[in-house]
Amino acid sequence: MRLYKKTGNTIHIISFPDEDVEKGCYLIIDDKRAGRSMIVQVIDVQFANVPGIMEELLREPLIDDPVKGDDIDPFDITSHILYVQDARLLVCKVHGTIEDGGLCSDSSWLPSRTHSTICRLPIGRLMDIVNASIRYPISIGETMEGTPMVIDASILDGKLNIITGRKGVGKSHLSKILVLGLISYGATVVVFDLNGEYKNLGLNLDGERNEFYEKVHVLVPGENFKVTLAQTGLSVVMKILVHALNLPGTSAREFRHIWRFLEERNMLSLHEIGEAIRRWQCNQQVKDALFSRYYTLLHANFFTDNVNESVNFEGLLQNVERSGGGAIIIDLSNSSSVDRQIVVEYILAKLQDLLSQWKIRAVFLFAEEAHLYLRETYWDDIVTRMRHFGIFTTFITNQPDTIKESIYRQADNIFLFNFVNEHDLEVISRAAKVDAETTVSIVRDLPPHHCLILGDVVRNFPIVAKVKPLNVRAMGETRLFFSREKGLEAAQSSRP
Amino acid sequence: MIEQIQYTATPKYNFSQIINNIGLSRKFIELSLNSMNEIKERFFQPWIEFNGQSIERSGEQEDTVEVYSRDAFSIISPLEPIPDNTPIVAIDTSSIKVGETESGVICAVRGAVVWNERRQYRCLRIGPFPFHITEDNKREILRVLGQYSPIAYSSNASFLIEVQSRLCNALERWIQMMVSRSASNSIILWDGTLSCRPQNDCVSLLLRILEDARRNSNAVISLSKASTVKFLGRRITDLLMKQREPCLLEIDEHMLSISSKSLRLLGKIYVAKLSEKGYAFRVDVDRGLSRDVHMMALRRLMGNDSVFQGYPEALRLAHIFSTFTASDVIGIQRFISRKYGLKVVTWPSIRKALFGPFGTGGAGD
Repeated sequence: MRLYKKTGNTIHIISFPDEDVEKGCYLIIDDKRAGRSMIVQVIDVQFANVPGIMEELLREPLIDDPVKGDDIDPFDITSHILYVQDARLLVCKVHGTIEDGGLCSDSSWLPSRTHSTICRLPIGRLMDIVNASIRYPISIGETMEGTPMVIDASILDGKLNIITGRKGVGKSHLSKILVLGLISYGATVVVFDLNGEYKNLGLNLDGERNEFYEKVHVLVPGENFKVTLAQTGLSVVMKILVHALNLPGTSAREFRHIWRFLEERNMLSLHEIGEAIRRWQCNQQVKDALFSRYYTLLHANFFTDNVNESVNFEGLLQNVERSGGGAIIIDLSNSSSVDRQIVVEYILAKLQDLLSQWKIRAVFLFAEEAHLYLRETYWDDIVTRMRHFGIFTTFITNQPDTIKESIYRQADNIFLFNFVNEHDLEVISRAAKVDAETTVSIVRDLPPHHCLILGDVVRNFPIVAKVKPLNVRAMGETRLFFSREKGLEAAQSSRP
Repeated sequence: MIEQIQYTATPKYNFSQIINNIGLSRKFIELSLNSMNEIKERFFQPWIEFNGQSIERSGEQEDTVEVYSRDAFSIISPLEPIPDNTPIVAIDTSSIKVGETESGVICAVRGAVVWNERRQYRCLRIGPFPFHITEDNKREILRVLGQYSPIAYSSNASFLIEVQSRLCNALERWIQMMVSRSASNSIILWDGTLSCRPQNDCVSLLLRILEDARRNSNAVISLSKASTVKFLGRRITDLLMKQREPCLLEIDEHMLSISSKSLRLLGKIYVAKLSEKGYAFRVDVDRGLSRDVHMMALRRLMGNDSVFQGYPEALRLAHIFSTFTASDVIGIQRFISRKYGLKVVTWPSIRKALFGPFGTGGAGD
């Protein structure tokens, strides 16, 4: 490899066909005379602009089959000509300089073209250079060199993470690896499971229970996840009414009066709230508004007056924490849009309450397609206020534009899977952790199950990783109409 | 309907006859190796200015033929093609300077043969052969080339670039000889003319090649891209410009000027327009063949080869495949710098130092 030119923090390197370099890998430009080395990442691989290549390409097809043209080339010069024609131009971004054994971000110096040597920098060595000691390893797969790709779970602590990529490239897969990794270190994880794909995390592919079986708690709202009004509390119910069910201010005030009236008389129940609204002396429009919300709550089947039927969510969280971590999977797959919002409002408000009172330490929240149930004001709340309370969120989405730009800018770690749509690429390029050119160029060509990791977990050196297979029941596979027909065909063909 | 050219190869021809006849080939390789071995561990400045004409080719200086006639020229028109599947074989060579050393220049030579049988084309490329030419070894090179480039041996090639041209010439003559001996019942196309100055010893070599060709029932036709036939100081090809159909203008020996007669003409000179919408070219056909055979050969050429802009496709391909592109040159430079451990340097240019952007690169000396 030879250094060709440098413009700003972009370096162009000429590489030859026998040199093993691919997009995303790191190179080290070692200028021994200067006593410094530059670390660069290949963000694009192009054909080198070899003069005369057009004439070569025009010449070749003239004789249709190259095998039927012969060469008497006793010096084998043709192989050198072909070698030159296949030369590549590596477009690289500078990521730092090693000087006196230390790493600094200086990219302003120019390595010597003639005296520098350029070679590939394995990810393992790169992590050694940045002193990336890993206390709580989570193996997420392998690097481009085939070495294990391990991140430190403690770096996810207190951080905001985003996992995004187009459909079917392995986002949920990575998210499950992170969930299992975190609970293996005793963390409490809450998952908003939109498609019911996390509920079998406790089972292996063959259906047998795995080591996490006891740590995975699946709550299905309306089935095994119901709460009483007393457990919920007025503040949470008010949030549900105002934010999830859009109750106007006047009606909300009347509801508050009704709640307090019933609470003072120790009569707080769903049935009594309905009766109280009927009897309450107020404007008919307010009464209608209260009734419509009341019936919505009733039909959500999430609230119950039967204490035995209810789940003590607070107790469950504390149990999980005490028993050495676990995942609470909120299965929202069968909930309507409004019901989802009610449940999410309840859980987030409860978590906030518990954390602010130090009843639990911290919670890792995994939110799949959060735009489908998270209200507008919660986004900023999650990345600023809730983070201080101890809710550390990971958003997982295949629609990157549903996450606000401010969230991308504040994200500590971003796991980017493949995107080809220009609009999506433009959205993810706003991530503050790396320049837009690097993101777009690498992400566009990522194969399935490969992701570009940006942020603190990789010490701000963007790294491409192949996500490992997981021996748990995924349940994230799309149900297909023709799979049944294929199954029948296969069964028929296997018959004697 | 527009005729589609099919560039598929024919399995009929094989090149073994040429490859096996390695008389000059071995000499060429030895000469190349010997000359290149002298430059081991030396300094080398690659020739890297690829813009436009800076890739040097050895000149194709052909002798101009002056014609005068009191009578009107006789034009044979229309010239009817004969499509009878006669094979067409075309030969071309080229050379290029690839760099300089302290003591001389490094050049490369390559030849190409293109066969067309039933409109299926096949190509053989010979080379490239790199040579290091210096003042010290140029006489030795010319001596070795002697048989195939007598002009080279006899001439007092004072410029190294002339030696490069002679190397190219020798390779071309060798390929022509091999093809004349191995092909039969074919039309063989050469680039240039079938003439040379009598003081040069090339006549006997050319005559030998033409004899070999005739013995195998081949007809050698030479096409000159530069119009070297002049009438009243103007290009004679202009006379055919207004002819709509393919035609032929025959130039008799008595029409040649005295100065032109000093040339040894081994071919009968024609000016031919081989296609309706093409250029006219000077065409020399082996004088050892009768006038009727000349006509038949030209009509067979028209009938069996595609003619693009008045120029036979096989010869066009031979030119394309022998010519060096810039990436060829870089590949050759890479080969010689690796094989012979040359240290690549850039010597300061006095011209650039003196004249800066007004330095003309020697072209305007």
